[in-house]
Amino acid sequence: MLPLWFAVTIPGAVRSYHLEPVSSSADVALMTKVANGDGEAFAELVKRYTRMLYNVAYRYNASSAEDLVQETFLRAYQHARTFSGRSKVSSWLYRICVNVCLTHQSRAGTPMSDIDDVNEAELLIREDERPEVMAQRGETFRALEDGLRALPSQQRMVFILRELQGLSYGEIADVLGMNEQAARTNLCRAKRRLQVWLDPLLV
Amino acid sequence: MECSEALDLLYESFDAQIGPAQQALLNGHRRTCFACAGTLAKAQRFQDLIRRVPQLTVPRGLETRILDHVFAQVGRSASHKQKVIRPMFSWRANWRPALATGGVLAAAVAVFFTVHGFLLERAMRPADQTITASVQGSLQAVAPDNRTREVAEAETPLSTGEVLRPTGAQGAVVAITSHLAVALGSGSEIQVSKLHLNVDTGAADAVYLKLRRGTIRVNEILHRDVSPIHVATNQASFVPTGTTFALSAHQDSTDLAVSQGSVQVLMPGRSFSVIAGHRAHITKTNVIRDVLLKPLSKLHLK
Repeated sequence: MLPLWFAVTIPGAVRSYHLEPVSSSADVALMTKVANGDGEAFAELVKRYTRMLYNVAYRYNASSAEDLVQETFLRAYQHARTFSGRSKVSSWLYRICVNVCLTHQSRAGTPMSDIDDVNEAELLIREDERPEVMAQRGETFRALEDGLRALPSQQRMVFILRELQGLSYGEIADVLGMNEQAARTNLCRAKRRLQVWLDPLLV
Repeated sequence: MECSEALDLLYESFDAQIGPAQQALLNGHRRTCFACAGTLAKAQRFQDLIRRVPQLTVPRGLETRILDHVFAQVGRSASHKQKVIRPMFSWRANWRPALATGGVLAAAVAVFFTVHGFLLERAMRPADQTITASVQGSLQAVAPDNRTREVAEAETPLSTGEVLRPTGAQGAVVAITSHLAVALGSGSEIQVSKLHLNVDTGAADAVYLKLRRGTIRVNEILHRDVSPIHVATNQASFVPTGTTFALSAHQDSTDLAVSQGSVQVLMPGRSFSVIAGHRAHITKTNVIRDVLLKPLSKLHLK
């Protein structure tokens, strides 16, 4: 039995990626059981993919991460019959999770703040939240997460899927319903904005 | 090559997405352009930072909560679906045995669903969402069905949906677990929004409180990766990590004061941390921070 998560280095890539060790035939068999209402198969699906989805949901919206993951699995259970086997289960779940995240944000009715929209007055109030202050406190990753949440939705999601989840551009294009070039462009823009946001940390 | 193009190429090179010709162009630019040398160096550090971002661990009990949520929504009967079989059959020739078989089957199904429903009802019983807390001082506990009970210096069951109001002038301390206590100030009111229990131990995996009014102090003794308590007000949610903090809820604002550790504050569209020795005044639109002038008094558990 392979471990649930393991890190492998993809030749030519520059970081280790977390890949699910489930073969596609096993995926299809599992999803067939879930589609037939097999509770144990669904529990196995939850066991395999909760961490993956939680990481996406938390980075997208920390305060609602648990609710977003629960809603993702609920939809996966309800629509298991629509899984055709043409994509990996992980890609299919990512797609549901992305839709849940975006729907949740639009329903919440509160537009996410944008790094570029932060005005001078607010910067004065938020001085303790500036990256240089957070760095002094050893909160580098939190500064990154704060900057990430202030990105526009699409850039944020591309960054999460590519840089933190290790998806290929092809998978990202499939999950987000955009072409690969658009995914690359969004990633570059996200990185530019985040690099500016984190500039005081990068010394 | 423009400096902005060089930055994009550098990002793509981190991804191994550029060919040798583009790499040569980029290298040439880096050698000759001093204007963007600093930016490109920072891009490299930024990429190093991204690579070090750890994968998050899943909060305790989340998988169980997911299964509970999904099965509660769709009903567990989905796992017991019977296949519809349509045999070749003549009613005229077989109506008597068919009627008898049908009667037996109907009785079996009725028994199955009665037992299944009983077991399911037992499994979903609120008692499963009840823990035993220890109360110092006196308080009034109001259940969702408005049943009220008075608790003073005693252990008491604590259930989802209950509202707690201290009755003494000194307030009350509710020890939820051996490492987690909440001191309710006089005039305060909290509601137990959610309780998630560890199936094996029966202990609280996660506690969600809503501070309706007044001031509470939370003391979490052990530092753990995932805090078992989340406190919400009208303005934000507060997630402590091994800490002591005080929270005051007002109509349009919340005041937070942290004396140990740090508290992550989650608001729509933003999140930030308040560390020990600092306080924050939080409204829906603003956060004003200040240094805590005097330390909070500590809570002690029996």
